[in-house]
Amino acid sequence: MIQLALVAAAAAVIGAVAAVTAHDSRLVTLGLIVAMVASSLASSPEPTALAVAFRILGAVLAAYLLWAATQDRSIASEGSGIGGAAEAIAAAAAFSVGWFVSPVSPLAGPVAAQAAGFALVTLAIVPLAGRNVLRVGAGIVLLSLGISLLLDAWVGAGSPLRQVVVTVLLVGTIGATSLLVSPVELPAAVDEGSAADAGAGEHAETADAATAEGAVGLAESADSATARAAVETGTATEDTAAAIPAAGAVPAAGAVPAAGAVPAAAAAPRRVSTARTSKPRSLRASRAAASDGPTEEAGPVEGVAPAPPVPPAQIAQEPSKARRVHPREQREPRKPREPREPREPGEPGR
Amino acid sequence: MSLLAFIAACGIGAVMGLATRGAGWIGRAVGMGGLSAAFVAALLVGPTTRATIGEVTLAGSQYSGLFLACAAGSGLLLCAVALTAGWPDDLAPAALASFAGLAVALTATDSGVALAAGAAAATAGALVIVRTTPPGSETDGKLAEIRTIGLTAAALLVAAIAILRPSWRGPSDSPIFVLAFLGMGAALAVRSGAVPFHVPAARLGRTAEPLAQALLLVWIPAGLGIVAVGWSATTFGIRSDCLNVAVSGVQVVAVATLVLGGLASLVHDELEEIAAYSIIADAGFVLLALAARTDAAAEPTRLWLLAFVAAKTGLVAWVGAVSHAFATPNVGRLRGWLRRTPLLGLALVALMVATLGWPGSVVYEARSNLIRLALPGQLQFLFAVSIMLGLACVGRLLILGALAPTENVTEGGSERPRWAFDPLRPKKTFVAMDPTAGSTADGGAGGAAATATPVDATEAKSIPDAKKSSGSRAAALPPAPTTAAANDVAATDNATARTAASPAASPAASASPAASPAASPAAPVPAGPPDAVPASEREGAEREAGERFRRNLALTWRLNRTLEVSLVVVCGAALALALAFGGLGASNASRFGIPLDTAAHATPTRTPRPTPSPTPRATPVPTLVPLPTTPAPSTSATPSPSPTLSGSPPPIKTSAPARNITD
Repeated sequence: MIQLALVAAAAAVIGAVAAVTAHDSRLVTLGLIVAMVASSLASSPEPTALAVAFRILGAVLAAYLLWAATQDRSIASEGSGIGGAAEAIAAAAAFSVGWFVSPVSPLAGPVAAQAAGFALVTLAIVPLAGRNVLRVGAGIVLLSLGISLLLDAWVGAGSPLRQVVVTVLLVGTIGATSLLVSPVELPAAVDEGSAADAGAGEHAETADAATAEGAVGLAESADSATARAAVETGTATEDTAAAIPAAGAVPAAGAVPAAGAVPAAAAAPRRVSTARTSKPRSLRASRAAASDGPTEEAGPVEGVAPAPPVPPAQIAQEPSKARRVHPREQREPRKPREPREPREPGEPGR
Repeated sequence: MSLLAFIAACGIGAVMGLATRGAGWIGRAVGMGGLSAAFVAALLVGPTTRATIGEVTLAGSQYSGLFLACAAGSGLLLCAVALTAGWPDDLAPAALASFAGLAVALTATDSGVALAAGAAAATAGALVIVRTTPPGSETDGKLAEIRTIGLTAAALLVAAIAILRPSWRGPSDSPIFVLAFLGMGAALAVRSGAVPFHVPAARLGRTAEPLAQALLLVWIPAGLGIVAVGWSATTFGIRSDCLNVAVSGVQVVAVATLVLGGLASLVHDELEEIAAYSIIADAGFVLLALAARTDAAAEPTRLWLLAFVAAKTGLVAWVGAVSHAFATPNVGRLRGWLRRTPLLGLALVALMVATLGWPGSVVYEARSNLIRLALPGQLQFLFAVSIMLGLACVGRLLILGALAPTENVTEGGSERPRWAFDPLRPKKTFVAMDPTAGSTADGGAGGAAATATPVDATEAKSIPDAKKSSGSRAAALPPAPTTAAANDVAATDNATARTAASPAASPAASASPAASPAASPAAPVPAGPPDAVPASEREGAEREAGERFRRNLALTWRLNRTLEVSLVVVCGAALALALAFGGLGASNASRFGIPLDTAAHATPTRTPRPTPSPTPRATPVPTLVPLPTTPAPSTSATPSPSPTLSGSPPPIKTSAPARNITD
């Protein structure tokens, strides 16, 4: 009969591998919640229903915090530097080592918990050395889970209060991660911005034409509508009113703007959106924007080719493109390969 | 019950504070209310306070109650300063959350629970980190904070494994204890910003909310220090070459922190950095206490931590008050600050005395004992060095404050009382300065008199109202110096201003179209026999006079913000002074420690360190000196002598498994 502790340990390791290797923040969140829930079941004797329920509740709360912080932003994990397969193999190796070694004798808990603890600690090492806050936070959670599993295996199942405190520690760690998480490879100007801001920032940061088109178009359409609504309701500010022609001209005319118009358009929505999003934006974002000062306003970016606007219908069909950019997409476009010189008749093949 | 009340107050206050942050006065009221409730509940925590959750008992003690009350009171004081100097939205909720974790850590009798709770308390510091990267800096504040949290959590959990003493299979578990000791030391060093990890701590002024240094560098490290010191003498008192090397490493870090932190506080020019390095330097004593590994170091450490919390929180409040009063934290621009704010100077001197003490005082002896117990004889001079560096740091600030004032200081706030009315003749005068004319009033009283314009009471009231309407962020900004200077001049040279207010004395005032109608509400009530005035008019006049008096009182309150903040800082300094000299029960409470100390002593130690000194003072051998390698007698099954707990509850059953030691 398969023991619950073994299944739970395996599930915890699988969740940890997913959290470490995934690029998408949602997958990272899912992996962490699986690891947190499963690790609570890997101890022996099995914890009480109340303790398990508290761990599950804590895992859900932690997952919600991380999900709420990473949605609608260009936040992603850097993923594994050695690949998912390599991470899985390393985890399996550590699991095997933990299964067969016995540093503590007699073992107070299940050997599966010890094996899973070894695997989670191993998986957490590499993320902790990175500079991506989301990945570092995931590594800290896995490290804490791994050590708590080792504690359960070596010392025995913890008291209910220890379960509660460990859950609070995990929730606090993920909450701290969700507060400190930053967009990947984006300037600070788009750190706390709205989706439109993020799109514009991505345009300024990358040369991805399609994304930039979507971002600018989306920002313009959103901001022009907001600005017009503000004028109609009498709540328009100077910036809002000034942005109406700049933002609304491009989609209305549908013409291809001249060179240099796109940076101006990209700057105009940013200026408008700062005023527009001051209300719906989270308080933390407003505070951070206020504290960062006006120097972080995104301006025209040199060297970025102007792109024609995209019809709003197309943008509406592909909103995710303007919101989230995969880190790999932010790399510089690959240079075209130079044509090879014609081979001489007597020259050997390369 | 009071312990649970404290935890509940902190937890509920933290959640409500996070929910209402940025909501103006509601968020402030929730934060202050939570801290007040926590302070009151902490005052009730005593030796008889117990709460059992599952199999773990949370047992209060006199010291844990005093420490929690000191921390909550310091937070309350800091928030009182922040009401004027700029309210950080997340400081109160973060402080409450960390206090809840520290309360569990300081009262739990299970070391696994205590250390995990300490780690959980450290995660609350992320709330006050607001910026990613300071301009022109390579330091990522958010990344540094998440790494600090991770290292602290991992180190404390590893320490919990070693302290809970599983049945290791190997011939010796010294490596585990070395790992645990290094984990404890690393957690303390990283969280308190000891010298190898000092850069993020020093730049908290730019990466964190205002006044956040108190939480990240004072309150949380102090709580972790109390928990760590509990095992210093028992768990880590074993004889092992590897452990001696680890202890030497901690000693090196502590010495470097003491010296370099003190030196850094002398060479930096930003007040926040000076305060940060001053705190870091004094946090080196906690590392010394960990490295001492003797029971004799426990009591001075506990007393020092009480003084440390109060004095360093006062220092952070002092920095906030000075920076707010003069609109700059730069020392070069703060020349002459002492002339304008002598109360703050008094507070700084009091804080220095509370930190350093003098020969014979309790805090002086505590610092001296820590260095004597933790460092070898060749390094005892570091005590004098630390005192000299501390004196030099404060002396530099005081000397700069006595020099000729700079423009920032001249235009900044002053502690001189300002009145919105003449206190001697309240009915006759109500003269306030026109804010538009304040810019020309910087030159002195003459200028102010020449440009003063009598304004209506409602118009005068609009001076602070304009500040109020601009929200919390605007309130955090320093007051407009010209307006402050004008008000100051108006208050100090009231007679001149009254002269200027009269149309005959000031052509500008008489030329003002608003002069005559504006002056009429503030004009004195027509004199005459009371019988000649109808009753309704007399009641109306009295009502109007009462309303005017209340309005003037509120305006006076707002005009004296600098004085009020200075008084709060002085109160904090006085509190620190009292604690540093053993008052308020600090000396008595420091003798008993926390229940975890009892649990740690009840846990069998593998190879307890024999007392090497034949002297009755039991001075331990400095750990930098190589210990003799002769095997110690195996007395591990005998518990270490517990401190005498007079009037304390019976020994608490520890959850650490007792087992036979094979060494």
